[in-house]
Amino acid sequence: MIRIKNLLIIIKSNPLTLFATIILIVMLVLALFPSQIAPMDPQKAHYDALRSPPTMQHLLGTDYAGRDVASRMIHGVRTTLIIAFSAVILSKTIGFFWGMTSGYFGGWFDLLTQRIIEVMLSIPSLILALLLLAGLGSGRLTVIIAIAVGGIAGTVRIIRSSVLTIKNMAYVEAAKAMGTHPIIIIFRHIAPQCFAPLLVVASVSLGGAIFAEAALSFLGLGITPNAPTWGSMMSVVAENYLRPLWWIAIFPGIALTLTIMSFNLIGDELRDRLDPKLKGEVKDN
Amino acid sequence: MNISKFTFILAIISTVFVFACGSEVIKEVPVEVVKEVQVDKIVKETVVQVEEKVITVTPTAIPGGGTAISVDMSDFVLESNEPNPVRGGILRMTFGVSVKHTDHHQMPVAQGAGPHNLTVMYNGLIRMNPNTGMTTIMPDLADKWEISADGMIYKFHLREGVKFHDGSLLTPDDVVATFERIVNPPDHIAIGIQSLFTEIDTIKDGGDNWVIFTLKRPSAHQFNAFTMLNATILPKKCLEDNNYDVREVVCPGTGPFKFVDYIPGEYMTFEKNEDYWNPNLPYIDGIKMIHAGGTARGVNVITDVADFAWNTSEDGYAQAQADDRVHSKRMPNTGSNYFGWNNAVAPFNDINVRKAFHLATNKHNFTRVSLGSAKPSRWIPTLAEGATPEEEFFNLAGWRDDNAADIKAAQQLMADAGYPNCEGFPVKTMVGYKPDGAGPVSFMDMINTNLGCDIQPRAVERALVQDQYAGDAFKAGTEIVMHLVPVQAIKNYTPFMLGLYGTGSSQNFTNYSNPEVDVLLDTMLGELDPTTRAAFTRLVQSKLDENPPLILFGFDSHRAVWGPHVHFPMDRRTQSIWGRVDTIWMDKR
Amino acid sequence: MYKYIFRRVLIAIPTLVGVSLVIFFFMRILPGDVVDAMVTDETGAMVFTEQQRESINESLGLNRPLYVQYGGWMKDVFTGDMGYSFWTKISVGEHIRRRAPMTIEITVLSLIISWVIGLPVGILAAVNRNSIGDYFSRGIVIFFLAVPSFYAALGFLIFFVLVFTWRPPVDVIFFWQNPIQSLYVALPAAVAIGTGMAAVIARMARSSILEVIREDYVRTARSKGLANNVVITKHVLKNALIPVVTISGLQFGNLLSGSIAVEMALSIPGLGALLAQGLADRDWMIIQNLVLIFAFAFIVINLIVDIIYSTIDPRIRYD
Repeated sequence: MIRIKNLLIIIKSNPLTLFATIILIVMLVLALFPSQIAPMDPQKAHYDALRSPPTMQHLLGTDYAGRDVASRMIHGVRTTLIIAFSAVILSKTIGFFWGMTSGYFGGWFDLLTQRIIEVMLSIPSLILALLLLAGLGSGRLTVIIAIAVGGIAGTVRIIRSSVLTIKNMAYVEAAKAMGTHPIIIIFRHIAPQCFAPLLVVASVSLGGAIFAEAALSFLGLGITPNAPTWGSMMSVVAENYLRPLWWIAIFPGIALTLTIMSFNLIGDELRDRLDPKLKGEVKDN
Repeated sequence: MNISKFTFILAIISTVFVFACGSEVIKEVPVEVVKEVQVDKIVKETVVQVEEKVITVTPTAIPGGGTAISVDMSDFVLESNEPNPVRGGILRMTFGVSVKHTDHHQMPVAQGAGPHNLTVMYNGLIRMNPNTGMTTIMPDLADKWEISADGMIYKFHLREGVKFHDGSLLTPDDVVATFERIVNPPDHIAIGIQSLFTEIDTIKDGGDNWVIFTLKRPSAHQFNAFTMLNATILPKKCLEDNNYDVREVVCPGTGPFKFVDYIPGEYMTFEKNEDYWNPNLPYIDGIKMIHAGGTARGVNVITDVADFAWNTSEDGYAQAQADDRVHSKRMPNTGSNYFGWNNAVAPFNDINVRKAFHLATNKHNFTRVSLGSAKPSRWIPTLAEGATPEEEFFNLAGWRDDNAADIKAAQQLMADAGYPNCEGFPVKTMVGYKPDGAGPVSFMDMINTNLGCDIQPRAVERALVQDQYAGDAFKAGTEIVMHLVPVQAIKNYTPFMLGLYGTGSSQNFTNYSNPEVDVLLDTMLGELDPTTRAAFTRLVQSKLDENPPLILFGFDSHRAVWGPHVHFPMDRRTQSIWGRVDTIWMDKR
Repeated sequence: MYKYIFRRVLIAIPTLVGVSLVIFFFMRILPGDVVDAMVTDETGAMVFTEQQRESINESLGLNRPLYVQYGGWMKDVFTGDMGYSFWTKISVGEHIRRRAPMTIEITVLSLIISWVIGLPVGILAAVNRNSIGDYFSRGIVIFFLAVPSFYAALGFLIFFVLVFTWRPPVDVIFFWQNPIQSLYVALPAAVAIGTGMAAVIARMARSSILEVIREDYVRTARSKGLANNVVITKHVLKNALIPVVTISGLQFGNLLSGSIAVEMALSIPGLGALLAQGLADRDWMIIQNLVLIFAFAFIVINLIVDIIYSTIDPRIRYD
């Protein structure tokens, strides 16, 4: 397990990682204290500054209803992060237990699992999410579920293959020979070895979850309308393209890109450190 | 009596006499009032002050008010108002809404599904003349008509030899069947324009190609209602064959164009009816209606992808205005969104709450967020008969821009009603088709900011918006529904007010019930004198001010764009009435 | 080798069936929606009586038990009848015929762009490992990996409108009818999606090449005295490209889902926009069949990739 001192060393070692960490800390702070940091109420309309480009009063401009873009973006951070983290935690937890049991116990359950996973992987995850949302209706919980469902299959596959490798190791065989209960074997011996790949998969998925949430709100299928999320802010501009209020689309997009990039960078770093086998990229210093 | 007293009395008598005669004079002659209004136009980010002519026309006197009328316009032939029309070509028109079904009368009277699309293939009995800007009546399928002296009987004589597109002959039976369905629709369908034909009692074949309508009482608007764009004649056979529900079937019409096909989301095509009963028309060979979004419609005309658009977005209009290659014109329209609550249950059954909402919302902000499109409208469109001029009602409470005092009063009213600072106020949601649009957002913002409430938006599909009135939340009084008013093209807005604000009426979804207003409207239905009617209308408006049924977003304008090669009398139109383009022609290209 | 192909195809079939089951199940979670939407319209309240509502249910087959509905759907799909859109009454097949060419055009162009940009960047980065160019290109790659495709598309649109007052046309333009106009529509979308994919390809290419370079046979080739670029082209590239091809196949899924948002951003009348519209209208016929087609395309593409993979790398065949 990684200790704090090592953490700091890791972060400082690579400028990109440092950059990503800073961005993420900023995002976290914004997510925790949006009302204190945002200059204005995100829902308040300013009729004297409708559709205003960036000015001293409204640093990132206002939208078609006169609402301050910067404030809306700041309030959007919390929503984005909550949905993304919830979805990833949900899908990784389910994937973890499913993959472990499938890999360890094998048999018909494993075969069934493999078939199901193959089917799930055949439908692109965004389309799967759209399908679910069409069936379940919009709303915060359903969006989280929809995004989570797309991430389960990949996790199961990775965890399962880790388990298969570990299952045949000597110490596991020994434990089995000693008559240890399977549950204890799983939790004591196998699971800890799977945390590393799990963490890697989770960090990679975070970027994807943020993208998915943005795409869903862009398509109008996100959480409640009017809630300030980056994706929904961008969808308005697509319709009114002759005199586009470019600031409404460009700034949230930059925020999206930076956030996704940061999560990807952290994920890369984790992958490099934790499990060189998985990443497929040769580490070179 | 000394001379000074005599002069004085003479002066008074003559003054009175002048006034009396003067008003008589005004009553008899329709007056065209041309106002010049300063309008801010935003053209490529510079604001340009331009004078725009806003034309209002007072209505013509209502027929049947005492004298029998007999009109014979059988030698009237409609043709283009310009000389030497060129024949040929396919008109490319852009329209915006997916047409959900093909029953010309079941299409909603409200905006949305476009009766104007199919209008080109049907005819009504009479219609408004496009060459006079849709202000005078001309024959359509009826070439002669009579109105009895007591105004209770309308007789229409049908042209001889008119054929439907499938070759069958038009007979009075078709007219009877069509209007029977409009006036008394069977249970399984809902006719949009029914509310404009409520005064009709019976419809009969009068022999010799005449159709006779008998009214329940003399009506001011009923005759003009026959000129409505979708008061068109459908063949009896088509109606009967389809159990009077022709939403899946395109019934043949008698009009200048025949339906060819429809690819939803893309285009609808019509071809020229070679056997049209007016041998002059149409000039063009066909129409291709191209489906496009709001801004795209204007852009399409500019880029010569289309020839004509009835309406484009504010963006598209600004672009068209700045471009010499096309003509464009803004015309007032009679559609508006409104925010409707349940007047029958708490909290809105308390008049204080209703007034609070009215006072707390600054209607001029609606204008601002709609880019000047929606104007504050005092319960009816400003071009309607009897509407209050803007200079007058822009000073009234609830309608003025400088409304700090109104907001204060609204807060006090909420406290009086038992919801100080909106505490305990049960309304939680506002539902609509696109509740994140500028309009609903500003409505919720004003209510939440000024009254301290917390109303949140909820979205449903367009087709389901009206269902929300039957939903649990609305019935419990915890939801506001954003809906569209029914559109009406005739100047007498009594049927509209009855529909939206009359107790128990079919369009009155908000369950508003104001007995004073009911009595006034009922009187107005039978009132034939337009001045009196106008006075009544003012009275109704102030009654609604005191006891608001809903919040109107504001009637807006439509912005037509067309190419210079298109010949059609758009310049004379004073109102955005879409539909018939039988006299349109284009220069050879 | 044909045995391998045959086996792969055989496995793909139950996968496809499984996919159809998943689609069907997800759609039926909330029944009754579409019928409700159909029986009322903007004017009247309930336009039909309960009895007529029942008959609509029946005519759409929504009354039958689920497995019968599923069976009916599958039978229809096999006979090529994908039903009729609930709303527009036009056959789904007709919709697809009109919209598919646009999306296919975008897809093909995206693929070409991603390879044309991605490969050289990846190869150069690998060959000039740890140089300034390498770090620079890795930075660019990381950036383009993170940019959401619909954001890139929107950015292009805004740029062109504000700077050149031009926007791509929004109509259905078939490539064989008017290639230039058609490209005007497809290219912006293809660039937006393709650059994202190029980043993935570049990354994969770079790491794959670096891995292969360490292999014994490359060292052997070098020690034989072969020039570096001959080594690269003859031995390294061929083998290094295998994972790149594989990843292209997997990326195809992202391509399909990316096209939905990108088509909405650019108002392109393609299959993605059709799906988005169908979702908004709750038009199950369209949603069901379109998603099935997307999944089918994805499976087929990956099948082809696997087969190509097996022809290049004999080790796979004996798996």
